[in-house]
This record gives sequence, structure tokens and C-alpha cells, in this order.
Amino acid sequence: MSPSRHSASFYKGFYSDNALDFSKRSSFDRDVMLERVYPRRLILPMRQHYGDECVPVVKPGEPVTIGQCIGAPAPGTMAVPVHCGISGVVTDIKPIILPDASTCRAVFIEGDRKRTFHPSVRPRNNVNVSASTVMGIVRDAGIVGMGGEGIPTIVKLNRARRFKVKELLINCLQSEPYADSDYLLLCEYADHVIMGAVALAGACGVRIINILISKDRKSEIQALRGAMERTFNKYSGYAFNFIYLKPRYPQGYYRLVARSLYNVNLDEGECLEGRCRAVMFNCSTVYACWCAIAESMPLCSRVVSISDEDGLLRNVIAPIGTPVSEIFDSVNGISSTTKTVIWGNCFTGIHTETPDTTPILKTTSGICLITHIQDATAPCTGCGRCYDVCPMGLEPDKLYKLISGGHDKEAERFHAARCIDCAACSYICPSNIDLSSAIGGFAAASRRKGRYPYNAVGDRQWVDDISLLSAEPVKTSESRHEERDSLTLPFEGWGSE
Amino acid sequence: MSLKHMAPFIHTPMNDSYMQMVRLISLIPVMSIAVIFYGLRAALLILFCAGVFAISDDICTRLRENRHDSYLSSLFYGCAFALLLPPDTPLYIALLGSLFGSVVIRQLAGGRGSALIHPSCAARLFVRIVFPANEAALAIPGKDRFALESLIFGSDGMSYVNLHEYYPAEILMGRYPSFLGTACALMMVVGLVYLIAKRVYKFYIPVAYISMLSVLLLIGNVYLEGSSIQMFIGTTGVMFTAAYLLCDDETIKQFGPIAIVQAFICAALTFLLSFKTSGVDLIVVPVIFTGLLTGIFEYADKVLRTTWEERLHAKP
Repeated sequence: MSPSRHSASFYKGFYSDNALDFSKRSSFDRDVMLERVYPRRLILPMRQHYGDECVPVVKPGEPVTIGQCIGAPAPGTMAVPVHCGISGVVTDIKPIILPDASTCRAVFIEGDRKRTFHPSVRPRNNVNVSASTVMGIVRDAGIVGMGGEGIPTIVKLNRARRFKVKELLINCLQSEPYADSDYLLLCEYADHVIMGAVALAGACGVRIINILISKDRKSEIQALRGAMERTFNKYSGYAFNFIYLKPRYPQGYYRLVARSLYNVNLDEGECLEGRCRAVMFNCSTVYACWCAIAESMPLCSRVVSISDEDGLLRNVIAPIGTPVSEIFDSVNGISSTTKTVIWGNCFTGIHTETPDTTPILKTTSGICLITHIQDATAPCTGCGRCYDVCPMGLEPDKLYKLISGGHDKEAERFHAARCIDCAACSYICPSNIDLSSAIGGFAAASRRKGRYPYNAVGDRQWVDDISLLSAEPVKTSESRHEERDSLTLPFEGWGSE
Repeated sequence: MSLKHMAPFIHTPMNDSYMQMVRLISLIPVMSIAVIFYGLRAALLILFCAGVFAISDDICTRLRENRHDSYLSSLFYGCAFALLLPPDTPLYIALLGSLFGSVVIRQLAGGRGSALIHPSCAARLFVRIVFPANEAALAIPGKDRFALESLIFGSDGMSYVNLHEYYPAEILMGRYPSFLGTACALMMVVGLVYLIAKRVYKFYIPVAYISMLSVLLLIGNVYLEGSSIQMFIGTTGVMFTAAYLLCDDETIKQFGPIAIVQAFICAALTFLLSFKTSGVDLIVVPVIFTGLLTGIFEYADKVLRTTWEERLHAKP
């Protein structure tokens, strides 16, 4: 396992001066930056991922513990389980509306402050598990893409096996201004990320692991390199490569990665696995996978960046489902009373007026506090700055005019549906015109109509024919032999409804 | 729960007001030297043109009920127009030129961001065509600094100076009869450096323009009849084009290969025009034509990019 160096660069994007560089912080800052939040209550939506809603498997009044499954996928649906991050009592199950206007049922839990773990959450004695067992663990632990898209990891693993991928990419390219939860994770848990990557590579059947990271992240690279050296003897059959990229936003989107690394433009409906023979996982996802494999801990907490426009930044480990207001109460130095609360990061987040009923999801990597929101100050001057930064090579100024004027067909002809809603155009616009909302909204509507499969990249249709059932451990003689080492995941509630 | 605002929730500090302010500040060196050379009438002429541009733009904006237009851009266009005028231009000519540039070229086209051609250049060309005698109103710098009668009555005639007698350093420092803003190449360079340093203007546009022009002038050295490239660039006002006219993001593309191509075309037009004419034509006509050709450049760029994307999409 010898780390080698490559360099790559994206076609466009921009470098933001607002980005906070965690590597420049003192060791004292780093020590106090990762705080653990102990919320009094949780709101656990039954859909926190790309796909279908789960079915609650608990009832009001029922006691729950940390790591216990409280929502399970209905058979044949594209869904992953939801687990509880605190111990307490289920108080209610009712529909909620999330800031992105999606609705689903949610389980409300009142904590008992005891932090009682479910009996199944325990370190695993033997982590040399088979590929099919890893896939089963990943599925049952409810792990989804934690970079933001929320595609169930088991779907990606299935797809990787189906297309016989040759490379595994670890996405360490978090690049939104003020967000550095992934980088903190890399510094503190580099060993977990490396071992999780090996486990996922084994599950996909690949031997090449490429780590994509910005070249200015010196301390994170150093941490990863140290972890590789420590695990060198254990996993010598795997080749690790560092691929350094210029620090710019946006970076980690799979189409941009395809263009940068493989020099291909993915068509609508194409995926990284099919065209480039590579599968990509976010580093937080990889970490969660290793926690599930090694410690039997399902995905029920994550690192969240709490950032303030004034420059204050905290990273906390929060149970999934923690209301945003509870995080503010727990973290010193953060006050949301006079500021706008953004659910998510400042480029892709959504303004919420009800932080007390808005929970952290599996895909929520940040919460932002903004002092004031700028409105448009001038009409479009046609300066072309938006075109200069658009990573998809679109012409946002023209598309904005077409969509605003109701010329939808023309907008489609100019590939408006390719918009990834990164908001780089709106950020760079000197007139502060909200280009990305118009174009991104149009693209989302187009995708909903089924004309552009977009992120699904066929996931739904593949779920129809593969389904999550194909992730069941294959009953070979080898796997039967391993069964005594396999995990008993917290699934006691399954089938109660 | 309601959605009030959408991402992004932060914006670049280089917003429109900031960029217009930087552009205005970049004009200060040339405006200062104009006032030093030509005195009070230069200051009044600049203020008058800027005021007319701003007021007429504001009135038109109110009539269109569009409250978003920035008056800073109007001030910039007004100042740029004034700096292209001869020092002894009467105010009524400046008024008509300003109204033409502001109302006819800019506001009738739809206001901010909709003009097809540079408003200052169009206004200056209008004055050049309608009042050709005014082109003779070039005064010797440093004389009659407090005289104001030219603002009413204009000037008697042009002051002739043989520029070949000037040394390069003198050409750089100015003090020869010219338009208000083109008397000192050094001040224009200072303004240009400021614009680039503030990241409002991409360096490759003026570099492409001046380089192309220099190469063409080198090729056409026979025509120059002993005159040097630095003499041409320093005295004809093309530095004003490079610094202040090509930086207009409303009519000239500011990014990518298309911006460089536009700079090349503008330089080529300047060179070709130098065979036929001189004076302000060399400054404004290439910029106007380049602005008009922007649509064609954009179409060509689109075709090239589509071809490139198709190549990327092509499966092995």
C-alpha cells in the first residue's frame, strides 16, 4: 500500500475567500471544536435519504435505546432503516414538514438522560468479514451518502458490483465555505476512514482506492498518510492513491469528478460506475460504514459544522434527529436570536424559521447563521461571471431570462436540466440575482417529470429489478461458516406494525 | 414553516456597487490630470456630463418603475464621455451628447445591461458626427486654467503641435493638445493597474488589445513613416480604450477566450482605421463595432463549446 500522487483539476468553479481553513487552527482550537451534543429530544423523520419513506417500528410510549432501529424499510422499497441516537421514550409519531417542503412521518423521542445503549451495539470481535456481510451491515445500519445527496450506500454498492467497477473513490472534497465537518473527521478518525475504505473496496471487489482531497489540506493528508502506514501490514493487497485537486467550489459532485478524473461528460442517466468504472463514497459515509462494521453502531449520529457568518465555527457530534435549536443551546458562543438560521450549508442550505422543529438529518453536514440576506441590487448586466464559474458549462444569465419569461422549451434546449444547484452563479453575480433558485428549481421540476433521471441515475429502476433484497448476504458455504461472527443488528422492532 | 429565501446565503463582496465604485475611482487619476492641464472648465465639463447621465438615467428608471438601476454606472459613463471630449467643448454639445448616450442608447434599449453599444462611445461618436467643428477645440495644456468662456462659446480652433518633437518620457507624461482624458498615458496606466489590482478587470483583455495592436503596428511600420509604436499608443488615446472602454461589462464580454478575441478584433479595427482617420474615431469606433459583434462572438463560442462537449460525450 504505497500512496502515490496524481493531480487533477476541475474545469470551472471558484475559490472562495470565505472558506475557513481548519488546518490553520491551533491544537487548542481543534480540541474544543469537536463537542458532543446531548439533546433532550429527537425528531426522527422516516425519510432522510434519496428514496422511499420507512415504516415506524415503534409505538408511542415505547422505551428506546441508543442504536435501536425505530424505522425500517417496507419490503421492495428503496429505503434504509432509521435508528435512535438517544435513550428515552417515544412520545409521538406524526407527519412533519421539513424546510425543503417534503413531508413524511417522524418519530418524536423524549430523552431520559441515561444514554443506555442497545445490547446489540458492541465491538465486533472479528472484522474480517465477507463482502456480502459488509453489504448486509451497511444496509442494516441505515447508511446513506452523507455528503448531501443521501443515496443509500447499499444501492451504490450494488451498482458497483453490477458494473464491476475497478476503482473506489473516497470523496474528501468538502468545499462549501464555512463547512469543514469532513475535514475534522479526517483529522480525528483517519484510521476509521482508511479501514472503512478497505472494507467497502472489498465489498465492491476492487483493489485500487483513490482519495480525492484538496491539495491545501495538509494536516488531513498527513493524518490519512499516517493511518495508511499504520494499516499497511493488514491491507497490503490494496493500492492507495492520493489525487490532489485545486481548492475550489463545487468539487465533489460525481459529474465533476467524472470530468476531472476521467475526462468524460456524463449524460443524463449515466452514472460514474457505469461509464467510468468507479464508485465514490463520501469520507463521512466511509467512517460510518466502519463504525457499523467494527462497533455494530448504526448510523445515528454525525459531525455537523455550526458556522456563523461572523467567523465563529464549531463542529459537534450530534445524534441524528437533534432539533437545530437544541444544538444552539448546547454549543457555547452560538446565539441564533437575531440571525437567520440556515438548515444546511450556506450554498446549498435552506432558510428555516422553526429551528425547534427542524432536525438534523443523515445528510445535514452543517448549520449556518447568517446576519443578513442580500437581495438583488441591480438588473443583470450580462457580465458573464456566472458563465465563468458554472461547473456544468451552462449560461445561467440566459437560462434565468428564459425561465423567468416562461420559455421552458428554450431553457430545456439550453440544458437547464443539467443544473446541479450548486449556487456558484448566484454567489458570484455582482447584482445578487438569485439565479440558482430559478434554474435549480426548473431542473428539479424537469427531473420530477421523469424527463431527466439525474441523481437517480437509474437507481429507482435498478431498485425495481435488483431491489435491496439483493444485498442479502449470499448463502455460500463461506458465508455460512462466517455466520457465527456476523453481527446482530438492532432490529427488534421489525414487523411490529 | 415557510420558505423565505433560497441559497446561497452569502455573496461575493465584489458586488455591482463595489465594481462601479472601483471603476469610478480608477478614473480619478485621469480626471485629476485633466483638471491640472485644462483647469476649471475641465472639472465643470466632467461634473456636468456625469450629472446629466445620472439624472437622465434616474428619470428614465423611475418612468420604467425599475428601482434597481445603479447611478454609479451612469456616473462612470458620464465621466468617460466627458474625458473623451475636447477641453473647449461647449456645455450644450456635452448636454446633447450625454442625453443621446443615456436616453437613446441606454434607456431606450432597456436600461442597465441592455445597451448594445458602449453609451459613452456612442455619445462621443454622435458629437463627432453632428458637431464636427468641435473636434478642433483642442487646447494647449496649462493655458487659461480659469477661463470658462469656452463652456458657452466653444473654441476658435485647434492648437497644432508636432508630436514627433516629443521624447517618449514627455509622451508618457502628456502636456500635448488632446482630449480631456487622453493627455497623459501614465495616468491611464495607473487607472488600468488599479482596475486589475482590484480584480474588477481581467489583465488579459488590455494585454491582448495592446499586444495585438503593437504587432499590427510593427507589421505596418511602413505606414507609420518613422513614427514609433510607443508614440502611436501613447498619443492616440488607445490606452484609454484599453483601460476604460474595454472594461465595460455591459457591452463587452469580460471572461474567457471570447473576451480575448474581442480585444484582438478591437485592436485590428483600430489598426485598420488608423489608415483612414485619426482622432476620436480611433478610440470609439472599434469599441462600438466590437460591442455590436458581441452576439456573433457568443454564437461562435456556443458552437465551439457544443462541439467540444460532444467530443467529451463521445463514448470510447
